Amino acid sequence: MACCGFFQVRGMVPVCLWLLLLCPEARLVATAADSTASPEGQTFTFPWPPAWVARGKSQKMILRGITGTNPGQWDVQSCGSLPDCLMPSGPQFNGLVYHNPVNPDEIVCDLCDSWTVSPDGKTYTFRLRQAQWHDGQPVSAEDIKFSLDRIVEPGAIRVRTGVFRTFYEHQSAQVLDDKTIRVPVKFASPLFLENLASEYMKMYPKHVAQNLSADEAQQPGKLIGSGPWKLKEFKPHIAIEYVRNPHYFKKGLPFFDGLHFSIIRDYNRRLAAMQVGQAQTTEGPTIGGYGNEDPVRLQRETGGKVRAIYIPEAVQTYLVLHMNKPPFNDARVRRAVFLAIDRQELTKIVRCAEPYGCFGAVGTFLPNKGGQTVESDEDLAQVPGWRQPKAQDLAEAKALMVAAGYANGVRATLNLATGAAVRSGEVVAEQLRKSLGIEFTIEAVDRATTVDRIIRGTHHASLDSSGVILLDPADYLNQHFLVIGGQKNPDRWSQPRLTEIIEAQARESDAMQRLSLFKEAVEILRQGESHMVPLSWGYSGGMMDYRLQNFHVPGSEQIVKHFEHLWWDPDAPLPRD
Amino acid sequence: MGEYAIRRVLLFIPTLLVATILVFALFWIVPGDSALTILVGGEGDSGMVAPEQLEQLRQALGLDRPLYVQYASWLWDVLRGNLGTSLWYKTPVWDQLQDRFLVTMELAIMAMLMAFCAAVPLGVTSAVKQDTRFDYLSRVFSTIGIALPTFWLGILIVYALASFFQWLPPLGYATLWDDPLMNLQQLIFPAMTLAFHDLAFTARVTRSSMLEVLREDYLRTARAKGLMEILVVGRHALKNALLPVVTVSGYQFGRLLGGVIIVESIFVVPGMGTLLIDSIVHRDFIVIQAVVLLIAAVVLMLNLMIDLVYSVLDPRIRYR
Amino acid sequence: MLVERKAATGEAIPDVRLEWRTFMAPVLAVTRFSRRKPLGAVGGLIVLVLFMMALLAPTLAPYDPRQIIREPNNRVPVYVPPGRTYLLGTDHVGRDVLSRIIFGARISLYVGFGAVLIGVTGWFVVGLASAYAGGAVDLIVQRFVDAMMAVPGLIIVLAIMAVLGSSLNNVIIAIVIGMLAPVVRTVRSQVLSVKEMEYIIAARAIGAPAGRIMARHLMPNCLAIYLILATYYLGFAIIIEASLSFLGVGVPPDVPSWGGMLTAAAQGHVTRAPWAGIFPGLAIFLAVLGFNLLGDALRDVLEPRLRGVSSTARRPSR
Repeated sequence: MACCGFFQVRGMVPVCLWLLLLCPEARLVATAADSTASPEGQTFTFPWPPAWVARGKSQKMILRGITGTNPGQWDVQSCGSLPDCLMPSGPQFNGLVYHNPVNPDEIVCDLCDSWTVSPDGKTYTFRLRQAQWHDGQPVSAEDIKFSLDRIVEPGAIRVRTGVFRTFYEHQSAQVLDDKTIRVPVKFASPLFLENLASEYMKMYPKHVAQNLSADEAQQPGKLIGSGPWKLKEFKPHIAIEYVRNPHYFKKGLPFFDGLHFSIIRDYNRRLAAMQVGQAQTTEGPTIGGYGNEDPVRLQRETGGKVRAIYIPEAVQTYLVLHMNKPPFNDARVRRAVFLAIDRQELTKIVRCAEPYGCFGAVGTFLPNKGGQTVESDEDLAQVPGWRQPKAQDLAEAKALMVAAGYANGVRATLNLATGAAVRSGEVVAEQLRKSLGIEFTIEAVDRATTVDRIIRGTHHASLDSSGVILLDPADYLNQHFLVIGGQKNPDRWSQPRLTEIIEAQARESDAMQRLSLFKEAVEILRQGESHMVPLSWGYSGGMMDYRLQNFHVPGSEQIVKHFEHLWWDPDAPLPRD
Repeated sequence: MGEYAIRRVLLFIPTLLVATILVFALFWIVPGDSALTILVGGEGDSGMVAPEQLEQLRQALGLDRPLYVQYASWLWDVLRGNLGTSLWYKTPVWDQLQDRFLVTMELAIMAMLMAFCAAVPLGVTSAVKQDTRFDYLSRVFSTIGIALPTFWLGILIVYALASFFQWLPPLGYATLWDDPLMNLQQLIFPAMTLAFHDLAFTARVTRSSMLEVLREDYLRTARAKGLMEILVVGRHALKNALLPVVTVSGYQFGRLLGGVIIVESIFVVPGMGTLLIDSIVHRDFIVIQAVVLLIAAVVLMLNLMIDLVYSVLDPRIRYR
Repeated sequence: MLVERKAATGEAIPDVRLEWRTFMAPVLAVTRFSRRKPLGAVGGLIVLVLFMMALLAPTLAPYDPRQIIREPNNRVPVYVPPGRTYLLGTDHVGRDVLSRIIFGARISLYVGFGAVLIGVTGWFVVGLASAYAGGAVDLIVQRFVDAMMAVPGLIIVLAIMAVLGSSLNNVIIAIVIGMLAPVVRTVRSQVLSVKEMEYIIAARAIGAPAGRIMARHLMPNCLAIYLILATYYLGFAIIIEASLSFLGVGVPPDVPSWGGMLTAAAQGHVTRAPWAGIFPGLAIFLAVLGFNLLGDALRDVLEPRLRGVSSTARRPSR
C-alpha cells in the first residue's frame, strides 16, 4: 500500500481521503472477476527504525495510562461499550483480521497468515499462522470456527457484533485442516471483511471458552486470548494492569513490559494527571471524552511534552425527534426543525475554542469514511438546512410550522445527558426558540437515564451522539435507520426506498454503484422528515507523551486499541510547535 | 439508665431497616435500567440490543421479580451474611466493600480530627475573648467555612496544586500500614477540604457552648473564690462546654460522610464514595444497598454510642 | 398606631406627629441593631442587595440571560474574559455572565424562600407536635428521623431529583425532603428543653390547657427558633441547589441559576475560563454568608439563651 501514507496530526489537517480515492484496492478485496491474492504476512514498516527495535529488544518499561471508567464486562464479543469493555479487555486478544496499526485504513491479517476469496465472493478461506494462547496451547482452526460460531450464537447478547449474523450462518464454517478454515458468507459483500476486522470480533480459545457460562466470561481473567498483553490484575477504582506476553506471535512485539491504567473518574483530575506527567497516555489513546481544546491546551502549556491526538469526524451529535406524540409526530414540524437549525453557528459555539481552533465541523449527513465521498463540502453549501445565509430555510421552516398549526410556537421537553451534550442542547434550544417559537425545557440527566428515556420516548426530543464504528457510510445507515426500535430509532421510522437501499448496498460489490445508492439515500434523508436531525460532527481526542512513538491515527475511535506497536524513545526531540 | 440503654439498642435494628427500605424504594423509582446499563456500559450506546435479550438478562439478574420479593430476598441474604453479587462486576460485594470502607473511614476520621483539633482552641479563645477583634475574625472565618461549597473548594485546590505547584497526590492507593508517607500524601488534601466545613461548624458550636457555660453560676463562685481565669476556664468550664461539642461533632459525622462522596471523586480516593457514585451511574442496586446499609449502620451505631455516653456523663437526662 | 382625633365635624383625623414616629421606629431599630451587631448589619446589607438584584433584574441586567449574544460580524462571543463590553465575561455558549448572575438571584431567592417556607414551617410543626405529644407518636417520628439522618442526604436528594425530573419546583421539593430530619430534630430538642422549663411546668400544674400553653408560652420561644432556622436554611437551600446543579440534576441548564453556572464551568473549563466559575461561586458564597451573618445577629439579639442552637440537635434522641 505504498500510496497510502500515515496521518500526521496537528488537529487541522484533513483526512487523506484523496490518497484513498487513488487506491481503490484499499477498501474492497473481492471483485467479481477473479480471485485475488491476499495481502502478505505481517510486516511492520517503521518510518524510523531504531536500532534496538530491529534487534527485537523489549523496552524495560511499564507504560502508564489513565482511564475514566471501571469496566464491568470482559467478554469483548458480547459487549457494547468502548470504554467499559473493549478498551480494558481488547488488548488480550487478536482478531482474524484487523486494521493495520501503522496504516489503519487497511485491513490486514492478525491471526491469519493469508486469505483467498472465491470468484463469486461467497467463500473466504483463511490460513492461520503459528500462534499460541496465553496458556501455551496453539491456535487452531477449531478455535476460529468456535469463535465465529460463538459470535453468531442464536439468542446470545451481541451488542456490537450482532450485525455479523447477517453475513455468517451459525456453524457453517468448515475446518479444512489444523491451520485452514473456510468461511462461507450468505452473500457477496464488500462489508464482510470490514465487519470481521472490527475490534469486537476477537478470537477465543475453544478449550477455555466453551466451559465458561455467559456470566463467567464477563469476569476479568476468565477468558484468555492470544494477544500482546495478559491481564495481570484489575483493582476496581484503582487500576488495570497488564503484563507483556513473551510468546506473542508477532516477533519482538509488544515493546513494553506491561501496561498500567489508573482509573480516574473525574475529568479534571485526568487532565491534571497528564499535565504533571503522572501518566503517559490517555486510554485508547483516543476516546470521545477529549475531543475538545484540552489536549491542545495541555500541549501548549507543557511546552509540547504532552501531544494532542485527534480523530476528526469521529462522533456525530444529533437530535432524535420522538414521533409518538405531538408536535414531532407531524413530518412538517420535523422538517421545520431540520431546516431551521443553524448548524454553522452551532458548530462554531460548541466545537470551537479560541485561540486553539475548531475541533469539529458541520460535516455531512453520513460519514465520508472508507474512501467514499457521498457528499462533499461544496454539495453541502447548496443543501437546505446546511446552506448559508439561512433566510430562505428559516422562512420555509416558519411556514411549515404555521401549516402544522404551531404559528405561536409550542412547548416541548428535551432529554439529554449531562456533560458535553448540554452545550449543544442549549444552543439548539435557543435557536429554535428564536426562530420557530419552540420552547424547549432541557432535562439533563445521567447517561443511564438518558438512554432509558430515549428508548421509552418519554420526552419530545432527545439529544444524543454516536461514534463511527465501521469505516463505511453504511455504518450510519445501519445505526440509525434500521427499523428495529431501540435507542437509535425508537419510533421505528422507516421509508420504503431507504430500507431497500440499505439492503441493496450491503450486497453491492461495485463501488460506483454503491456510491450512487448512498447518494440516493442522502437525498431521501435531506427531506428532513426522519426522526434524526444531524447537528455537527466532533473530534475524538486523546493525549500522549511526546516520547511515545509510532501511533497512527485511525479513522474511527473504535479501531487500533492494543498498544502492541508503540515504543518509547527517551531521546525523542521535543517537537517544535 | 439501664432502661434507656436497652430501649435505644433495641430500636437500632428497626431504624436501620427503615433506612434500607427508604433507599430501596427510592432507587426503584429512579429511571434507568440496570440490565440495559450493563449491556451498554456507562458511556456506550445500546446498538443492536433486542428487547428479548434485555429481558433475558433481567431474568438472569432477578430484576423482573416484584419489588417486595427482591427486597425480601436481599434482606434474607444479608441476614445470613451475604451482601450479594454486584450486578456490574459480577463479583461479591463484600470483597470491594471491605477495602473501600477502611479508606473512607480513615479519610473521615482524619478530617474530623483535623477539624476538631483546630476548632476547639479557636472556639474557646473566641468565647473567652468575646466581642474582640479576634472574636469577629474567627466568626467571619467560620461563617465563610460554612458558606463555601465543598466541591468548589476541592476543585480549586486541585487546580491550584496542578497549575502552581505542578504536583498532584500520587495515583493508586497505599494503605496506612503499607506506606504511611504515600498514604498521607494522598489523604491530606481531601481531608483538609472536608475538614474546612466541619471546622467552621465545630468552632461555632464550641464558641456558643463555651459562652453558655461561662455564664453559669458555679463559675461565678469559682471566680469569687479568687481562682485564676485560666483555671476557671481550663478546669471547670472546658469539661462542661466540650460535652455538647463532642456530641454534635458525632452527629456531624453523618453529614461528613455525605461530603466524603464528592471529595473522594475529586481527589480520586478509592473509598466508598467513589464506589457509590459508580454504582449509581451503573444502576447497580445491590452495591448501592450494601453501601447505604454500611454507612447507615456506622452512623446509627455512632449516634447510639454518643447517646449512651452522653447519658452517662450528663445525669440530667437520665431521669427523663 | 394611628391616633384618631375627632375633629369638630366628627371625622377622624390621623395624628401626624405620632405617624412620623411610627415610621421612624423601625428605622431607629435598624440603626440600633447595626451599631450593636455590625456583622449582622453587613449580612443585612448583602441580603438587601440580593433582594434588589432579584426585584430589579430586568432593569439591571444589560442582556437577556437566556439569549446567545450575536455580534454584528456574526461572531458569537464564547468565553470572552471580563472586559468593557461584558463586565463579567461570557459563558460557554456566548451569554453574558453578569446578566445571568443578576437573574440568578431570582432563582436563588425563589428556591431559598420556597424551601424555607414549605420546609421549615412544615417540619417545624411536625417537630413541635411530636415533641409535645410525646409517647408512641414521638417515638415513631424519632425513629424515622434517625433513619433518614443515617442515610447520606446526597443519595436521598439525588434519588428524588432523578424520579421527579430536573425542574425548579422539584429542586425545592427535594430540598424540603432533605431538610426533614435536621429541622424536625432541632425543633424537637429545643421544644423539649423549653417544655421542661419551670414556668411551663408551673402552668401545667395550675391546670392550663395544652393548647393555651402551646400558644402563649411555647410559641414565642419557637418564633425565635423559627427565625434562626429560617435564616440558616436559606443559605443551606442555596448551597443544596448549587450542589444539585453541579451534579447535573438541578435546574435546567439554560435557566440562569448560580449552581447551574458552576456546573458548566466545572466540566473541564475551570482552567480555560475561570471567571465562568468564580463569579457564580462568589455569588453563592456571598448570599449564604449574608444570610448566616444576619441570622446569627438576629439570634443574638432575640434570644440570647438560644446561643446553643445549632443545626443538629444537641440532645440525644429518645
